[in-house]
Amino acid sequence: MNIFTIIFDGLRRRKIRSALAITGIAIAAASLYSLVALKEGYESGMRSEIESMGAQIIAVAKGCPYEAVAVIMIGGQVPATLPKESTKEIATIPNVASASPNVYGAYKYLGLSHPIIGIEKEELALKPWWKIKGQFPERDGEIVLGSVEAAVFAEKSGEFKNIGDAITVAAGGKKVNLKVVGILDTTGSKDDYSTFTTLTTAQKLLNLEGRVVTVNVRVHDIAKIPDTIAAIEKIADVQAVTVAQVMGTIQNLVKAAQTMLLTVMVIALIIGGIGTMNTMMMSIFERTREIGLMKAIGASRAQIFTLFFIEGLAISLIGGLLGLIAGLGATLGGDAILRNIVSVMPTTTVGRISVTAVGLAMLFPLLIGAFSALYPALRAARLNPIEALRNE
Amino acid sequence: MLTLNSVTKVYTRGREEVYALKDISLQISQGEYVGVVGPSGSGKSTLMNIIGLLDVPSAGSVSIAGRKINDLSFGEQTELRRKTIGFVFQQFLLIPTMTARQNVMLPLYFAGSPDAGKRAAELLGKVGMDKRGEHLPSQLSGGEMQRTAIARALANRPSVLLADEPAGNLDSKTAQDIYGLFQEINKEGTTIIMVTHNEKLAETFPRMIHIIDGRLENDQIK
Repeated sequence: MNIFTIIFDGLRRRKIRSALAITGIAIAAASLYSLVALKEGYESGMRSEIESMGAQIIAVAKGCPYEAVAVIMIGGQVPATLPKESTKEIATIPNVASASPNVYGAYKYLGLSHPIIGIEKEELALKPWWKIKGQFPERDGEIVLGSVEAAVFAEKSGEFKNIGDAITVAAGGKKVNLKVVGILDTTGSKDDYSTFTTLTTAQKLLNLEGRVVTVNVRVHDIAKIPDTIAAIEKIADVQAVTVAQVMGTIQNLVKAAQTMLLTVMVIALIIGGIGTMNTMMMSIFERTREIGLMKAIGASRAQIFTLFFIEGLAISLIGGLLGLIAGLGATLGGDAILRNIVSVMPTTTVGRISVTAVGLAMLFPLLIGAFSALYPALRAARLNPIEALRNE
Repeated sequence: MLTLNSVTKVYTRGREEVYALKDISLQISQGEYVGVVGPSGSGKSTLMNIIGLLDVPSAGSVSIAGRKINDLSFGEQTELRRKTIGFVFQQFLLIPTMTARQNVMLPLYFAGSPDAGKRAAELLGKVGMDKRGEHLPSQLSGGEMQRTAIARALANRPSVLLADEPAGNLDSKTAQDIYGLFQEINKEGTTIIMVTHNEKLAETFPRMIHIIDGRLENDQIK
């Protein structure tokens, strides 16, 4: 017999009381874990999504640039466009290393809408990690398929099997033949779900002749980005944002919801803590005579304190662990729920195992457990054995 | 082995001073079997608490096993109590979430004893509980609970066993068995001090101490 058998036999034989205290802590730990893990997953997902655009500055038509970029990221269509000549003007600005014009839109195929992006060779300077099997689209009507699109089309279309085959799609009210000249290796980003074509092909398909939706820019010197943006915005009707700003805006949107969740979580933790404290206090009131008896048979104050303090910690630790398991489950499920609520979501799953969240979800219940067990344990240690023994 | 010198215990209740014990002096030698009798509220329990190192006298001195308890720190009192005193209560006071065996092991655990399991088994055998060790107190009869409590009181080989009405909650047949057990323990050299209401029983003890209104009324050695 050691201190742990004493404590665990005690907890096991007071089933309901122990279960209630553990549940309180578990709920608090689960919500803490889910919140931190989802936030981390969302942020890192969004970051890699934006990094996969390859640009540091994005130039769009005047309006709300953040909205425009957000809409593009989820594959929507932006009404405001720039004249194609803007690309050349931007490319001549000092500090601009490369300027890649993009046209975003969608076509219908196999009964579904598929995003299509018109690009020029400059796009390769922004995305050095791209590996294309076959060729980069150069002539009218040529396309490169993202890896997921290629796999789906090969399975379902019946007309596309290999590079060189053509597909017949609907876009801008017309039927068009597109020839697959390349397939993009898996990138782990939205690109896997996209189709890439020449700028002119996309402009024709989407009735945007001579226009572009964004000009994506990489710079030589990051420190000079503010000057570069100022220079870009001197061009008529052009507005520019940095990728960092877009990221910041998205984070701000998330932050409001997060603050509310945080409040709820803190309340849950406090309730869990009070629950533990209450359980510990009740357990000490109930066991006053036991404590008196323990003192009579030779327990020191320190031993009584240790017994009750560790009991409180054990409740918190078990609660924390169960909460963590529940939190892991909730986080994976939370991804699906968030996708229905939040419009801007990264392609990768946001529900992931986070070391920080595991640490926090274990540390907080333990701190709360320690705090709420401290007073009851001190009280137990200081009980007068005579009064405790007389207690009925 | 146990000396009380002019021991007085006063409680203040509001502005009133209540004397639980008044000027009690007595000496008990190792191996004695002493009965303490007296009406309710006469101060028997206070006397037992002071002898058991659970309480300190307001005036007078107490020495146990050659150590004056008035001079001891809180920790030293605990240490001395653990080594020299065993308690047996009328209500048994077993810990309900622990088996009989674990209850017997508890004082050994507090004392940091290395072979607690072996000692507990030996003690359960001694009180005739060797087959019931894995039962919880709720599964034991009154007599079995008190046997377990006696085994627990003996765990750290105390020189004095303090018993407060140990058969008060038991039927007369079981009570006889328990008294027999105390006699056996006394024959092995353990001092026994037992509070009882049963004067007829107390008359069979080799020594009887009578307490009335906190005073030592009669100290009779046969």
